[in-house]
Amino acid sequence: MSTPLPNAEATKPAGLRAPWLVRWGAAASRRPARPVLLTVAAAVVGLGAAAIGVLHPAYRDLTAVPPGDVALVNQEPVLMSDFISETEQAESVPFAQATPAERAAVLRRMIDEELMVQRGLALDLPEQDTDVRTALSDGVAALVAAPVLAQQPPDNALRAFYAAHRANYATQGSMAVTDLVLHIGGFENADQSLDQAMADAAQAVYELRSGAGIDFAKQHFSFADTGRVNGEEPDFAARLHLGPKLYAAAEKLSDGEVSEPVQDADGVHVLVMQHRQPPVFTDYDGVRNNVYTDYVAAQKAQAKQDNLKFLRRGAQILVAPGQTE
Amino acid sequence: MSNPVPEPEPEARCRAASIAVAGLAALGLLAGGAFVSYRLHQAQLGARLLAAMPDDVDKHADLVRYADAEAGPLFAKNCSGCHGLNLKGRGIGAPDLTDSIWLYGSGVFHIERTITYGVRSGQKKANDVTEMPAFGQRGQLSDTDIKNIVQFLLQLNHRPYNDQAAFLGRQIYKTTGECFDCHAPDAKGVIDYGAPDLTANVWDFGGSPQDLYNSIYYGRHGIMPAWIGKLTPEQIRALAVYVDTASKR
Repeated sequence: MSTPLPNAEATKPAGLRAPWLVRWGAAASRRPARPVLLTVAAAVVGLGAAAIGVLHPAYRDLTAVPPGDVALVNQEPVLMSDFISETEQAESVPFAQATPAERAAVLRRMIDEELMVQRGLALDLPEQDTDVRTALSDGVAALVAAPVLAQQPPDNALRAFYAAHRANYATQGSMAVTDLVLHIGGFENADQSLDQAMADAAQAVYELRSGAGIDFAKQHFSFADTGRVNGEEPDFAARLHLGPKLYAAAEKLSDGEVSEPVQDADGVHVLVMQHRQPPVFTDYDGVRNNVYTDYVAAQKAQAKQDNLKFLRRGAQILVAPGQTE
Repeated sequence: MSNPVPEPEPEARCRAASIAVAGLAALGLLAGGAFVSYRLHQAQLGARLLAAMPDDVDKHADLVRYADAEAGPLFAKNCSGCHGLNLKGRGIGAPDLTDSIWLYGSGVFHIERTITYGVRSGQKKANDVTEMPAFGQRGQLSDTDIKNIVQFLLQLNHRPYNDQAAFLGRQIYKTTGECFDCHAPDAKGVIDYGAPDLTANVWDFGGSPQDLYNSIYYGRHGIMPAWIGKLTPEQIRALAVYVDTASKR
């Protein structure tokens, strides 16, 4: 019976062996199970590492089109589902009935589009092109508005909206009004005080309401005609020309009526209404469709504002010194 | 006097311990190997599921089984809130997915598109060509008009109805109401618009006369979120197969 050849390292005298082997041998003689345990542990760790490597591969460039995609363009996938859908839309036939040439044309167009989009991003078009920025902004607004629009508005909400925006559902009124002014406090070189101007204006109003003409008021009290309203103007134009304070006084006047004195920045005004065509308000039932459309638009706008509030909470926005937003 | 059991030799104890540890380790290795093998097999099935043409998946029983197993928990987590765990809808406009009636086309491909991009989700590729207008709220149809159309719908579905009102409702349906424009002259619906078949007696928003009146008066604007970016393409495909399979049972 042959005896196995002794291991060369093992047969060396202890003094000539490698130190780690000496320690290993000593440990093994004290605890014989330890080498087995360590070997098994090492194998398990190795297997675990291999499993992680297999199941969670690190990112690397793909060299083949992944399943579910029809193409990879600079590593960006083009979905097979989109390809099928676009082919069916382009050719108006089920995908299976589209010819290879038809499919190829659609795929070529999709790849071209992807290339252009990637180029656009590389050129930073979202930062530079107003159309791209608008499209992005509108896209986000549409996404946030979708759940809001899914809810049908109740009737009372529409009626409340109508009541709050009644002026939007009226015909446009018009007015021809003469705006007389007594300048005060140095304005247009006028040296009279406010009290004096108010007293003169009150007297002028009395005279005008008693039948005096505008020319009389101008000559006797030194009123100037501002000429802000030129002939018959629609209400929106009159509001623009008169300003909110004078317009508020004017819109209540009927034909031939004279307003009370109104103090404004440039002096004391008296308005004489030549002709007034007041707006005609349409009742709710007459404008239901418009109210509905406007209500939905307002909901969309509100959703956009809510989203902006949310975005601002998480954003870092720095504004240059001296500037406000 | 009993003889004491002799203590095993220390060397024998070590040998036994070594064998036990080695055995356990072997078992662990086997289990680990089996796990890795299982996961690789699953990954392979997932890849095949995605690689197959959508409407061909049901020709492969192993892929359908895999999709069902993968999609079940996904459906419970993401879809059951509206469609219910039993897929029958929860009466809030989320349709019954088991009735084989599809607003936007049947089959894995169309279902997958709907899951991917949603319905009126704000996504440009979503199913949102049109919506049911609020005919009453917008003042386009009177209260009487709507009630007449409701009677016509009841007649179409072989339910008790008022003959005279249904006659008038039919006229409105085909003329001033312009209902035929989306729901088709025969009221069978048009998939291109997501306009439902009005003769199937299947109603996402309730089928009582009052529910039908409300649908015409207030309109309908069903919504489903887009799941692209939230679920992987493989998960979406699995869900589409799962739902398609459920509708065919």
